[in-house]
Amino acid sequence: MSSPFSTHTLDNGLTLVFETIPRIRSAALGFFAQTGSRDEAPDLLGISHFLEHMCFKGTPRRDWRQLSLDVDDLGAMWNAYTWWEGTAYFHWVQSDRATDSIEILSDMMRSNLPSDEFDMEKKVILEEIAMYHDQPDALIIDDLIQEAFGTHPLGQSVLGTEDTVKSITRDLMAEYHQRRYGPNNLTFVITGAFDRDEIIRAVDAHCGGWQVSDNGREQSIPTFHTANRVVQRDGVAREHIALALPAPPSSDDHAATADLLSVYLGASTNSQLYWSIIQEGLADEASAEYINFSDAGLFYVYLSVDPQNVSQVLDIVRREMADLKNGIDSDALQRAKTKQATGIICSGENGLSRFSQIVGSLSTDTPLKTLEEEYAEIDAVTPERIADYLEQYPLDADPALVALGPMEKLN
Amino acid sequence: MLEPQIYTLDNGIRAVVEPMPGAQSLVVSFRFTFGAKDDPNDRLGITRIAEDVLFKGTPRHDARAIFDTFDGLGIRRSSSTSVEHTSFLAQVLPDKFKSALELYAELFRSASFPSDQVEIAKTITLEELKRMEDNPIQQAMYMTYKAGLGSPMGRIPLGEPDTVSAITPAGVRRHWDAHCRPAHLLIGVAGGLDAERVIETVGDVFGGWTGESADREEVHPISVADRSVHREKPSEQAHICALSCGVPRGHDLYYAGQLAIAILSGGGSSRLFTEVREKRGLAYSVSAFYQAYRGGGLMAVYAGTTADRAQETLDVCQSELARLRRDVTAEELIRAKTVLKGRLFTIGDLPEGRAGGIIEDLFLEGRVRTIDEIAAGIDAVTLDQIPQYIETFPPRPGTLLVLGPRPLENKEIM
Repeated sequence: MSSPFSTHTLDNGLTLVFETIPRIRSAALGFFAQTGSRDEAPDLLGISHFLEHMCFKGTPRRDWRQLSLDVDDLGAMWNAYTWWEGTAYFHWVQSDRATDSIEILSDMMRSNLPSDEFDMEKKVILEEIAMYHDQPDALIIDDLIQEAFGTHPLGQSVLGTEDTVKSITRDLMAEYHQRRYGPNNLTFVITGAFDRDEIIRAVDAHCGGWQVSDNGREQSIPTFHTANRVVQRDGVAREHIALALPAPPSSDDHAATADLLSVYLGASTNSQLYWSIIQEGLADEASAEYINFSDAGLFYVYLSVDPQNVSQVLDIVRREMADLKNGIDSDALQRAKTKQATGIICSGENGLSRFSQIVGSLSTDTPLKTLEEEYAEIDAVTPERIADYLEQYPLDADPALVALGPMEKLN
Repeated sequence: MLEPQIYTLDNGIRAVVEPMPGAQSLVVSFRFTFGAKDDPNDRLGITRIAEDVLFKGTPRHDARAIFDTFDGLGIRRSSSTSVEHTSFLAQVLPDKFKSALELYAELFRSASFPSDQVEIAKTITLEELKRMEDNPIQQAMYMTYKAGLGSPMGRIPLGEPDTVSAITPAGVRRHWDAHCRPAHLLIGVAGGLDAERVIETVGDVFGGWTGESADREEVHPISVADRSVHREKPSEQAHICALSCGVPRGHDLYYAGQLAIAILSGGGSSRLFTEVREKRGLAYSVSAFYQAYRGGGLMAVYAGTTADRAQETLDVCQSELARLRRDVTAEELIRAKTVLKGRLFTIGDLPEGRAGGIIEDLFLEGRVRTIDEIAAGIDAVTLDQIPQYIETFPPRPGTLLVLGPRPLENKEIM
C-alpha cells in the first residue's frame, strides 16, 4: 500500500503535509505554528495563547464579526489550541469547502491584532484563567511541568498568570507575531478527502507571499528536577496530586515503551493502579500517562484522593512503580497492546484526530507514522525492552510532585 | 446511503444497524430503557451502582477475568447511567463483533453483583460525589437539573450520599433483575459490517434470552419549575445556569428549535458568543444547548464569569433570549442551517457519531433518521417558525441557578 502521507514545500519555506483517509467525505485542515509557552519571555507568559485568541479578532481583510460569519458559512467545526511547544488552528469541513477554508485560515494567520479588540480579549483570557483556577485537576499538570523543568523555558505556564497577561501590550504581541509566524515556522496540515493539486494552488495563492521569520528555537536540553510542592487551598474537596519522573523525548526509540508502560501501569481500567487503588475504593482517580516533548519527556501520574487516604495511596503508587522492575506480566502486556490497536484503527478514521496526531509529530520532531507503523512500534515492546527502559528511566527514583487541596503537607 | 433497518427479536429486543461500507471499526451501543428515574427514593444511585458492578462478576468469571476478556478482544468500552436510560458503548473491530456481543450478553443475563464489589462501588461513588465539588461547572449543572426538574427527572444519577450508603448488595441484585429484561434493551450498531451479518449475530447471541417484560415503561413528562436559586460557593467565577422547556423530538417545531438554539449558540457568529464574549469580554465559556428526553425537551444556558461581572453577564444572556422572538434574519437562519449540517457531515459521519445517533433515535422515537433525512428536516425550517418556536417553548418561566459567591437578580428583560 502506498503511503497516505506526502509533503510539498513552497518557495518561502511553508511546508504542506497531506494525509488521505479512505471513505470519509470531509477534510480537517489548518496551521501548526511552532511556537508556544517555551518560546516566551518570562515576563510575557501567556503571549502565545493570547495571540491564538487574537487571530480570531481581525485580519487585513476582515473584522472579527466578518471572520466569524465567514467561518460559520463554511459549516466548519473549528477551534485552536496552544501548548508548551506549539499553537494549532483547524477547520473540519466538507471536502468541497476546503479551499474556502484555506483562504480564511491563511487570513487569520496574518491577523492585524486590532488594538480596540486587544483589551477586550484580555478580559476573556483573564476569565479563562479564573475558570481553570476553580478546577484544580485542569491546571495541576501546568504546575507540575513548571516544577519538573525548573527555570528552563519548557517549564513555563501556557496560560500565564493574571500579572503576565496584564503586562502584555499590543506592540509586544505584534513583534512576537512577526517573529514567530513566518512561513518557515508554520506548517499547513490537511487530512481526509481532498484534491492535492487544488490544495497546493490555494495555499500558494494565499501564503506564497509571506515573508520568512525566525524559526525553530535554540534552547539547552531541559533537565529534570525533583520537587515536592504542596499548595493548601480552601474550598477544594479532594487532594489533587500530580507527580512525574523523567522519560525520553518523543523521537526516542523508547517512546513507544513509555507509552505502553503508562497503559500497563495506569490505564483507567484493568491496570496495576486500577486494581490496587481504585478497586480498593481508595481514590476516585489514579492514572498514568506518557507526556512527550521534542527534547524531553515525563512519565506522569495523577491522583484525586480523599485527604485521609493520601499517605496510603502514595505508598501504593511508589510500590507499584518500583515493582515494575521485578517483571511484567506478558499476558497483561499483550492485552494492553490489543486495546491500543483498536484505538489506533478508530482514530485513523477520524480526520480531526489524525490532524492532531500529525501536529503532535511535527511539534516533537518525530517522523510521521502510518497506522501500521504506529502499531508495529507498540507491538515491538517486550518485557525485555521494558526492563531495558527501566534501567535508563527508573520509576522508583524521586519524583517531581505537586499537590493541591485541603492538606498543608502530605505526610 | 444505506437505510438503517430496525429489527425486533421475538423476545422484544430492538436492534438497528447502519452499515458504513469501508469503515474499519464498529461501534455497538446497548441502551436499556431504565435509569436513575427508576431508582427507589431511598436508594438513589442504585442503577448507577448496578451499571458499574455489572462488570465485576458472573457465575463463570470474576472481575479480573471479565476485564481481561474485554482487553483481550481489544474492546474500548464505556458505560453510563442517565435519568431515562442505562447505556453501554463498545468500539470493536468487526472480526471480534460476535465475541463482544457474547460477553455483554453474559453480563446482562447473569451478572452476580458480588457483595464486596457492591461495597467498593459505593465507596467510589461517594468519592465521586465529593470530587464533583472540584468541578463547579458540572456541580452547577446538576444542581440546576435538581432544582428545575425535581424528582425523578432532575435526579443526579450518582445518587446522594445518604441514599448511596443505604444501598445493599441484595438490593442491587433485585433492582437489576426487576428491570433488566430483553424487552427493555435497544442495540445500535454502526460501522464496517453488513446488516445481515449483524442481525444474524444479534439473533444468535441474544435470541435465547427470555424473560417476562417488567412493568410498562413509564414516561415522565418534563416540566421546569419557575424559580431562582443561589448556592453559595467561594469560587472565583459565578456559574450561571438557566433551564426551560424545549421542544420534544418528533414535534413539528423540532428542527426550528434546534435552529433557534444554534442561532443563540451554534457557531462563532452566534448571538450569545457575540454579545457576551466577543463584544463585552464577559466570559470565556457561554453556551446554550438542547437536551432530549422521552418525556420532552430542555433548553439550557450556561455562562461562567468572575463574580463582579456576573450580573451584567446574566442580563445580557436574558436579553438575548428575549430578543430571539423578535428579530432573527433570513441570513442568520441560513447560517445556522449550514452550521448544523456541517456537524452532521463531519463528526456525525463517523461510526461513533452514527451509533450514537441511531440509538438516540430509536430510544426517543422508535424510528431512525438517516443523515439525509436530518439534513432535509433542517433545510425545511422557515423563518416564521423561529418566533413560533419561542412562543411555544419560551425561555421563561424557567429555573435560574447561580453557584458562586453572591446571588444575582433575575430581571424580567423583554
